[in-house]
Amino acid sequence: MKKDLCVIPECYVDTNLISCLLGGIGVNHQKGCTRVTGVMEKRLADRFAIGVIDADKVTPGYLAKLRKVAGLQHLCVYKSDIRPHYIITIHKAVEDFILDEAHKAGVSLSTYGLPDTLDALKKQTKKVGSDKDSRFKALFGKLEDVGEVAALKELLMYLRSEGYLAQEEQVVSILAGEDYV
Amino acid sequence: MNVLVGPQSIGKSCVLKIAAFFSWLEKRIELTQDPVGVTKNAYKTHFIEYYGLYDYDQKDTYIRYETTLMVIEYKSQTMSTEWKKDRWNYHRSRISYIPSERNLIATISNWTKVDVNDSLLEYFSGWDEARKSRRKGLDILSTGVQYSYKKENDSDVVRLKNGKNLLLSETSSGFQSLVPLYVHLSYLRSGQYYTNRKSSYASKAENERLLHLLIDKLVQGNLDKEVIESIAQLQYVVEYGDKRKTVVGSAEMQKLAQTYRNFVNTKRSDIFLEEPENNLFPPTQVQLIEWLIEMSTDRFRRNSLFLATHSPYVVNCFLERPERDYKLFIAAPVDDKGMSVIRAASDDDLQQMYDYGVDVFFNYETFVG
Repeated sequence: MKKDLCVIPECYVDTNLISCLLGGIGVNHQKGCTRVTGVMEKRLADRFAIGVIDADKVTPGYLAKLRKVAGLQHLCVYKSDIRPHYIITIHKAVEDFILDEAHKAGVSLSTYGLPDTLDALKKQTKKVGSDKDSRFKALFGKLEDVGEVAALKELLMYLRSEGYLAQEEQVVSILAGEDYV
Repeated sequence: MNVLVGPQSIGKSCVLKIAAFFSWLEKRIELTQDPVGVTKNAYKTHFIEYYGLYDYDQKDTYIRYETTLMVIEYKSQTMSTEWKKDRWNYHRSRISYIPSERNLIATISNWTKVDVNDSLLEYFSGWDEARKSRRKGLDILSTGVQYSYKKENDSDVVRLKNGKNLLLSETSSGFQSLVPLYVHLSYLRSGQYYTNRKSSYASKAENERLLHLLIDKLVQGNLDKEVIESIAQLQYVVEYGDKRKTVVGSAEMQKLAQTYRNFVNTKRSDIFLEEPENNLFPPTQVQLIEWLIEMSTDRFRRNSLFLATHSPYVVNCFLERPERDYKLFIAAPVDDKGMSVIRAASDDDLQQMYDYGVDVFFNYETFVG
């Protein structure tokens, strides 16, 4: 499997989403936002890294050392001024993001065998194995080119392709795309 | 050293049991030089029944085991073997399968009467042998506690840091798990070589048969006076187990004597260990694994270690090693019907796991797919 271990999502369904948006490659799934930031801060201190975490838990200390450069309703991008690190936070959490974006796109989750309510969806996303769940993969395939999911995809693709050379202005510009709002 | 990781119920334990069984089978074939006799019914009695794997066997089960000594295949419910060039280069090992249910030991005193599968019973028996060799205190890693066996009342005593003695069954779950494991492994590491174990009649007879077979195969019946004298000396070794006895004679006889000794004297152990981390505080897991690595990299003993684990601390102990003297095997499902695949991580994979702080338990498919 092709992989990019500098992309570090926090939980099972985040991992599924990020992997799908990047064409099915393997990413560096860590359990919990503090592990994402811990790996970035300690193991990848001098290397390019993109963390993806939900914003529904206690803010990790490392995130406070980064500067917010752009944001949408569900996505915020933080950048380190001293390291080649970006952290994307998903608001309030990935389940809200999925439901909201599906709703905006007129997509019913039940079409994909998934529940349409937040609590029921959380029961599915918390399952071990939801990082590989084909129902989510199909849903993300449908959503990847619309709304903030498309913004997230373009942002990830840009950051991955540019790596150390990624420009803050370009990040801002990607999230400012009218189509995403 | 082999480390096996993967999700629950993927078949890790089954792989460990297969490896242990075939190692045992290889040993029996070498010691008897009778592959047909040894393999007859071995799969059913010494594998399926021994490990209680009744529901796992399939008509199309295929297993291939290959070492430098031989190839053993189980195919179409039939076992076949093929010698390889190192046939006579066998070094006898003690094979120990250590199941994850092992901490039952601490709470069951009359384990000989408990209805468990043979593999667990054999582990209990191995533990019994190990504990009885420990009349003097054994420090349990650097935990500050010490184990000793009290012959007077057949009890296992654990002395705590504060000097207080407890029976093993009264200690914490962590020590109930760690102490028997460590005592057993310490015995395999060194104790077994300093304990006088009486050979059974069957074992002596087997050794004698083996000796004559070796003479027949390696000296090819060329018995001059010198050879006969050397055989007499070798038989002395058989009878009295004198490991120091020097065999004089031609280079051919010296070689024969060495080969024979390699076959009959245990000098190493092959350890198959399920979940060494059970009930252990992570820093203790690390201590245990570092100790096990030390044991397995002892150049003189050449012990082998094959473990299955769910602990990132255990895996990390290996990833941090500058020497790549281990293999990390990753198991992953291939479908929803219970099929799984196991792949050895490449050196690049291991380096990436280390460099990127990858938790292989959350990313196993990335390294298998």
